Amino acid sequence: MIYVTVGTMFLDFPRLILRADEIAAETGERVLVQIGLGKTLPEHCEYFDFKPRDEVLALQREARVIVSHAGIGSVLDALTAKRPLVVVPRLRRFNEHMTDHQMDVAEAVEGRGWGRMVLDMADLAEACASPQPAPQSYRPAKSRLVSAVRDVVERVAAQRGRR
Amino acid sequence: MSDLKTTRGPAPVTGADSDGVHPRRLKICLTCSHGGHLTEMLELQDAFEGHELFYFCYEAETTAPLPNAYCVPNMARNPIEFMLNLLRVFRLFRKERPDLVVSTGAEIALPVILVAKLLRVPSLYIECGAQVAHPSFTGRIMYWLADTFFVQWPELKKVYGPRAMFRGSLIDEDWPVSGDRSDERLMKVTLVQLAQEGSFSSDQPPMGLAYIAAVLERCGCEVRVVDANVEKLRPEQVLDILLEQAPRMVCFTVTTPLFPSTLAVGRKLKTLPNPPLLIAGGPHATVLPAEFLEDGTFDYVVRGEGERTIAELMERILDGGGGEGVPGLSWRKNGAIVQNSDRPLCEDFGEFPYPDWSLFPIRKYSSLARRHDLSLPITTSRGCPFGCTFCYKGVYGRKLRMRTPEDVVGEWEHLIERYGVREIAVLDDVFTFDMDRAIAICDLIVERGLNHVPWSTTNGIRVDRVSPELLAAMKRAGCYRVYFGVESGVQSVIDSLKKGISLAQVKEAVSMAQAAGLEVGAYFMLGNVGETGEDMEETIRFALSLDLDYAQFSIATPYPGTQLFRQVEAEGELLIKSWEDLATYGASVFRMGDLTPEFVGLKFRRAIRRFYFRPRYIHRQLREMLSWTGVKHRVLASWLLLKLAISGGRTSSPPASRKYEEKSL
Repeated sequence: MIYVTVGTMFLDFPRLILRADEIAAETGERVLVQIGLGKTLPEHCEYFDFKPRDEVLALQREARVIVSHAGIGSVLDALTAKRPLVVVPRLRRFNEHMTDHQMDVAEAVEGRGWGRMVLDMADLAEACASPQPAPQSYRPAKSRLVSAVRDVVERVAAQRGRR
Repeated sequence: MSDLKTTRGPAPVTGADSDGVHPRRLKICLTCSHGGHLTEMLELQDAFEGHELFYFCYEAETTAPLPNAYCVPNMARNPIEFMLNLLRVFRLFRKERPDLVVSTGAEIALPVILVAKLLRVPSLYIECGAQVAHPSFTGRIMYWLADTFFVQWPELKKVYGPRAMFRGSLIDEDWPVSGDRSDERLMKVTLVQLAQEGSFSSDQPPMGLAYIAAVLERCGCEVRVVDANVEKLRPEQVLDILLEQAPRMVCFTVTTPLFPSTLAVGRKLKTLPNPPLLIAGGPHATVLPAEFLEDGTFDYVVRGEGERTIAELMERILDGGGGEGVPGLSWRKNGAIVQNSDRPLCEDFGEFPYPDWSLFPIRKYSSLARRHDLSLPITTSRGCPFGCTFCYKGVYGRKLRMRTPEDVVGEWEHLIERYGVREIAVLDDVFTFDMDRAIAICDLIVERGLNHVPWSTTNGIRVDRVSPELLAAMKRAGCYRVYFGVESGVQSVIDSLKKGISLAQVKEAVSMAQAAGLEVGAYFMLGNVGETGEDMEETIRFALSLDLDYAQFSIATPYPGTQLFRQVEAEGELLIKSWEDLATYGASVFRMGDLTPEFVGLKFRRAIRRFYFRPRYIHRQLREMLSWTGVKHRVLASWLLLKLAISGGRTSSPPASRKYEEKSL
């Protein structure tokens, strides 16, 4: 199963939805699309707008490959599910987002070997057919950030206590 | 708070901070908008455990369930809402009195952290994980406004600059412990000087580190330098840079005031899964090596002159060995501190490479005592045979070792050609001890056509080691100003400092230098042991009578290892909580007899006012401003002097306890 997600953005993302629809028609593989607030609807895919996060994660774990707009939350979900990831950033010039910051996210994903970035929709079928394996050892530096924040808190607490 | 809606959460726990035990339970204001920024804030909740929290956020479905939340309408970038929020936050802070503000963005943080800044509440801003390589609108402002600024991607740190710290991320992976180990044959070494808080005058290029850098490069190491003093980096930021660089060895140069923060950074580094080797050198390491080694934080201490010791140690380490038998080294072996024999002082400087300044941000160094932006120091001799009570001689010793004129001028030329310096500062303790050698150096500078680059003797020369011929030769070689170490205008005080000069010699040397066409600067010290108020007044009067172009007044500071320190320990009282307190320029740190910090501070400020705020001096400075390129320095100097004249380095007396508090990061 190919799991496609476009996030919570109010702008439409027809480039991805339509190409995913074609892939479903061409290959016959099951394609499940989270369409969010988008207006473009696929014909050959199952789709839903939103589901609770635990259900989303369960679906992602079943997927053979996850195709995501490069939203930070969905990248994190895909990495947590440890499934192969393809990112297609929403771009400003197609009026898919207000900024091109998802380009940075997509580049970070590819640069760190977390997944593959697709900019030209012609490459999407090939990217889904033979995706790069998901990093199994992925672990975000969350505890490090939490302890860094705690350091700041404790420093202030020590200073205040000394007064 | 009519326009603020408070949601009901669990009742806050109170009273925990009433007994004054530290660390105290804090009240923390968390502020963020309602989408992904809130998700991130909730992910960080563990960091705030045990503290009282309240939120400032937008009215939304997601913020409704938050405990203790003050919710306002979404302001986006509406300026009227922004002003209203400033008022709301101000009133909220008056009511809640938070100790800390933390925000994960976005623009809702602007009014909150602005008010926090005004009310001097510390703040932390964490840039959203979605900003990978481009700063956010709010982040650009917070970078300067927030006291601490975290980003969640190392790429972004490079875009923002040194104030931004990458200390972990909700998305990005744990930083690679091994760093870039592509070439294992190269030993990655980072040399560090931490910032001296409360220091006043200038950012001196760290000469000792530049020598060590050159020596280690010759050993085949990949050397980097972090000069936190000139880059104005706090210890946390240095730590962050070290985490990124992931060197296998970190060498710190440590003066006494830097010891607490150095130890704190070292301890943090040692908690890493794969910690680097830690090495300390410099004056404090030389006089008190055990302070670095006793708890196992540092692996090696290089005592005294470090070049040959660090080179030998590096060879041992690259061969898989340790510090066995390397002279000048203190180290730990099986949990015990081993003190190897002292290393004899180096007799031949020719064996060292020239200091490598290419690793330093040389354009950033500035000094009140120098005219030009791009100025680097040179040392033409090491050691000093005199025995002044306030001077520490542990590193370069009392044996004077002089470089040959050819060697000196070779480096002089290298500074000009390789680094394009526009000024040179001679850092010797006694540049003119051998006056014939000094003249030979000057003649060679002229011969090689290098006398177009101005220079001065910034560390001071002795008034009993000058002659009209020498001063004329210096003038010809490009010297524009000489500094003399005078210390006091009272002969008995000079004698008690074991300085070995007379006031008659001072007057003669100053007029000799003026006759040679040189500007004259002089160094004075106030608050010397046994000094009376009248003595200090006399010093001020004496300084005025000399018609100097520059004078620097300092307060006698007892550094460990000096005779002054032993005197104060035996007969007086050292008023410092931590070694750091020795760094505060313009503040006295000991009490002995009638000499109190308050009294010395008063005289110090008076000296600054009397000397610098004379119409004649101001006129001279203004005139020079017109002709100098270093207008920036003049303006900076005037501002700092004004601050010093009004408040001094520190006006209140420090706590009288003699406990050296530890510092943590």
